[in-house]
Amino acid sequence: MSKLLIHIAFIVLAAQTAVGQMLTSPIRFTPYSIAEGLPSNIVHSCMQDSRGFIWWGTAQGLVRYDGTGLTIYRHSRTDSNSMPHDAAGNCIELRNHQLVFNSSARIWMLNPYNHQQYPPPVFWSGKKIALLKLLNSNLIGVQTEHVTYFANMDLGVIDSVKTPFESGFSFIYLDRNRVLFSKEDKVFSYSLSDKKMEEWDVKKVEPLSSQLCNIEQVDTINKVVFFLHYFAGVYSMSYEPKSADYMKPYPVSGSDIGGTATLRYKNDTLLVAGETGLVLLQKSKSPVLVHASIGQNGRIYQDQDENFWITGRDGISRFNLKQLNYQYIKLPYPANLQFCNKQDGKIWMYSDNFGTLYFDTHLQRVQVIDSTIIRYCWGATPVNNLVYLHGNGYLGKNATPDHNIKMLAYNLITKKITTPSFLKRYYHNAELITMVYQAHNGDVWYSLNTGNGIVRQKAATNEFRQYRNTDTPPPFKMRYVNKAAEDKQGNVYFSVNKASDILVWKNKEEHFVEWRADSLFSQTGNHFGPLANHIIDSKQNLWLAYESTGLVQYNLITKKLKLFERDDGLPGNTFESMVADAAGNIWMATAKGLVCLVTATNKFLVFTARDGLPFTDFFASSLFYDATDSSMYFGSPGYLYRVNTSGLLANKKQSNTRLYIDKMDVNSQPYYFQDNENIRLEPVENNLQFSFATLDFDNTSPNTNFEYALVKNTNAPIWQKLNSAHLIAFNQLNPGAYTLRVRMLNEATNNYVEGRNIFRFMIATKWFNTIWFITVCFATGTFLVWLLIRQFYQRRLERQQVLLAKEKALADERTRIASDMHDDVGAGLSRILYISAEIKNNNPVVDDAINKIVALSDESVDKMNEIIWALNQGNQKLDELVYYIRSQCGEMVNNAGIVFICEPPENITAVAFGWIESRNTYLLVRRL
Amino acid sequence: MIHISIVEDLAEIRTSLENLVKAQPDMLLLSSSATAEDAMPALLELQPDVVIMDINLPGINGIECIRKIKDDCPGTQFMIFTIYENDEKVFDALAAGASGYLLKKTPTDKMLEAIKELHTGGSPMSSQIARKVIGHFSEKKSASVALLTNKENEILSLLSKGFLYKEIAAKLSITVGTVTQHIHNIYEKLHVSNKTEAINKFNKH
Repeated sequence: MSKLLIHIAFIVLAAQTAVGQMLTSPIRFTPYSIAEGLPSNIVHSCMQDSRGFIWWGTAQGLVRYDGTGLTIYRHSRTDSNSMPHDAAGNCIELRNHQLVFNSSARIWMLNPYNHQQYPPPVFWSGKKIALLKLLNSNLIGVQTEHVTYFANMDLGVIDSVKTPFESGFSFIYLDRNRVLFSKEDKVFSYSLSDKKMEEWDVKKVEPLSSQLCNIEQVDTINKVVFFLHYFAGVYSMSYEPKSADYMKPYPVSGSDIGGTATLRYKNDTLLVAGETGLVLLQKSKSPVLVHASIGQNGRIYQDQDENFWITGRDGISRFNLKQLNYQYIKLPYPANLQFCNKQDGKIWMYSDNFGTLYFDTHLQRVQVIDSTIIRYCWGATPVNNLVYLHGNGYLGKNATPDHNIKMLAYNLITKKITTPSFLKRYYHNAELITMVYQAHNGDVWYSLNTGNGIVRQKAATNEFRQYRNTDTPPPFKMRYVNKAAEDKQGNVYFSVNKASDILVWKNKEEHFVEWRADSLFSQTGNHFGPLANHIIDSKQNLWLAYESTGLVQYNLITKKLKLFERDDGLPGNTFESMVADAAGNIWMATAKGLVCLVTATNKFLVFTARDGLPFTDFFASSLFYDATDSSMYFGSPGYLYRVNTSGLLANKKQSNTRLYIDKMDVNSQPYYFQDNENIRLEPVENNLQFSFATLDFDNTSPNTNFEYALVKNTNAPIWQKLNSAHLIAFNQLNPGAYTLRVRMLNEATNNYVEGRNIFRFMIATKWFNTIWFITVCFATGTFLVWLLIRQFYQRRLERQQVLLAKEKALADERTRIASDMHDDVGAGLSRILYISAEIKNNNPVVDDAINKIVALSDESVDKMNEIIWALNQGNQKLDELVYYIRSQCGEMVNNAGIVFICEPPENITAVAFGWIESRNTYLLVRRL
Repeated sequence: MIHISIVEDLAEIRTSLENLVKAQPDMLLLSSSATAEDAMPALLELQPDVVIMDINLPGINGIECIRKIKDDCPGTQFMIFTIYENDEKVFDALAAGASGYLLKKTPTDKMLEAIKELHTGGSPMSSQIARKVIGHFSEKKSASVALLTNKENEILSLLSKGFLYKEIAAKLSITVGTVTQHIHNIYEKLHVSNKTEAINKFNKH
């Protein structure tokens, strides 16, 4: 910052030196007033919000400025939420990015995203406000009639104190939670921590006593406060520790400035705005008037980009110290300077309207050596005592074509225009000298038009030799040349207007070689147009600027080739002049400004009026680089400029254009959104319109290089041009998630810069089409189906279980019956049988009745056996039945002495049936 | 002389059997008991050739009695005395160590014949029991038990299909005595198999 201050001082001091010498570029002020659309030239305040917009409180409204347009907020009779009066004072951005400002002794609010004004919280609504002030980044001071309130950045009151003065006082944040109140010769310090008000003793100082005096600035590092006295000027006062001479005046009287506001940069340097203008104050130095027109009640505000905004009763002025720093000499004529070379500290040039001249680098002056007007001249080349003038000879402004004198040179000794007679021997019919080049070995090369080729004046022998395309054999095809460059080996590279080829003089071999561009650079796949310029840098790179093709870098040692085209950032394919600086960077004068190829990064930088360049339309041969002091010279009609190339690159102003979506209408109604908010719209809210604000204080003309793309979901963006009204409308948008993107084409680099805010919104899907609804339906359906299936199988299982239980119960019952029959009935029958047998054995004469008992018992046992067999569940199968029948029948038949043949099949089908069926079948077979 | 013991809870039947055995000159009744508890000490001590054992005894039943003393009476043949041959318990008794069964309704001459036949190595087997024996051995094929010979399998298969001993003998060209001998062997193997299975189950637990 201190460098900037020194610089600003130097600028102002230099501006006061005599005209004719090299001057330093002035600070450029950009005015904003009623003429620019400001509602009033009375501007009370200036503030930049977090998005970069500048807000001005004016007598006729609160104004937002974005670099190209103004948005004015005023009182409206029909809107009760509008500010109470048109006048707006200080404006402060709160933590939630809402703005608070004072208007007609009231605090009022504004939502900067949707432009809605609205009343403040209830606490503030009835308060009569004298001053609203941002004390530090977390503290707001609100001055009312008798009480000063301290609020946080949410506008919540954290403290209040009865003001030591009734009105007309100033207050400022000191440090350590202390605030200073001052009026006339009274100063009070209030501690927010201790809630104590303490008076400072400043009575000893004259002439401040009983005079109007405001504390304007605090230097907390050096513990100094600055008082600004409208008449007496600026005073500083050390406050910790206080010494006898703690109050010191600055070397300026009040009448010099009529100071109203100060902006301190660093240490003891102050910028003071006053009725006189903007004044720079430094201790022990004279005050410097930086800017004359400010008007009363001036204020200074510094924004994030180091723009300084001076407000007052004459509107607003803006300046930026990071501007292009150059030196210049104003010439008496609007001359287009064309540079040639430097000899003996003199940079030689020629002007169509001004004649032959040079810039003396020692004396820092331009010296005209001859005002002879020569038509179509593109330079002046000094060789020994002659300055060869390249162009059609044409002596004097009033000379007729009959006075045309060809092949002109200025003799530095006789100080007269002459014709170098030795050239006539080689160029009988020539009309103009196209080139004179003195090589490092002392050889001088001449070329003139009319096809007589090149003449070499050998330094060692001073003999001349002519090379023409009519020689046998012809050394080259060119009829003449007009530009030359030399490498470290002494090889000279010639070119001629509008041809693409290079003619190379091989110094060692002493012969010419022609390089065909299309074949030499064939690997680029390009056709090469006219060669506008060619140079060789210190790294032995041959740089060739081809119109309509691009810039070729060809290393003469490595033979490595690189072509720079528009896609590489080259802003255009017209090259008026080209030089290489000491760092190897290539500077080109083009119709689009001054272009630099930074070879370390292979990036192009373009310097235009945006960077402070005084003009952008360069002429042929209008650049010259002086390696002795790293200065680059360029000329414009009427001016010679000099810049330091490294300084130029260091101060290159980066494009800081910001683009914001400023307003949004949904179905033709304003939609109030917050920045970066994810907006969710209903399905019917699908007609949208957006307006944009571009924020660029260095480019005040509406930029048409903006594009936008509405991207749905994750689709690739399709970019479309944004119209000049900065409006986009979308109708009947389908449901989905959208991203609105905006970008700007940086013409200088041919690259796009994305907008600051990517705007996301979502149009909701109709409820019956939503994924959650479909999912819930699907889940419910699946659950119901599962429930039904489960119930079906569960019931079937239950039925089977019941059936099985029944069957088991039946089987158990049958088993129990069979067991009982066996154990009880069978045992009983057996006993009957054996008792009967016993009776029979003991009584040989057996009654028939006993025999019948035996037979019946026996038969009962057999039948019971059959029943038991049939009851057995395991026997209720076809194979069991077959085998049982076979065995019973077999026994019966065998006992009868009959041969029984029965072969049951090997595999009997597994068929099950009930015990009744089993028994009946057996009985049926048995009966048969 | 065939030494016989009787275990039958019904006094009438037991007495009839006793009288029947006593009346035979080639048979000697060693003991006669109404319960297994009474019979077991006597059987272990007397080691009869044939024991006629009722199944449904009060207290320890006939099957359990055979299982307990079979191994200690290696020369004794246990003959189940049952009302009908297809009783489930008959197979269990055969598996426990009985070598034959005798139906209670069997006429006395046939009964004496069956006792003698059992003593000489023969055994009766109904078709239903034959199927159970086949099922028992087919389940234990993988076990390391003595499996049946082909001839035994053949006989069992025919028996299971209701063929009489006589028919089997004719079909296989062997004597009825050989058939009964094979069946006796099958009972022995059934007993061993059943015992091995019981031991394996015990070891697993």
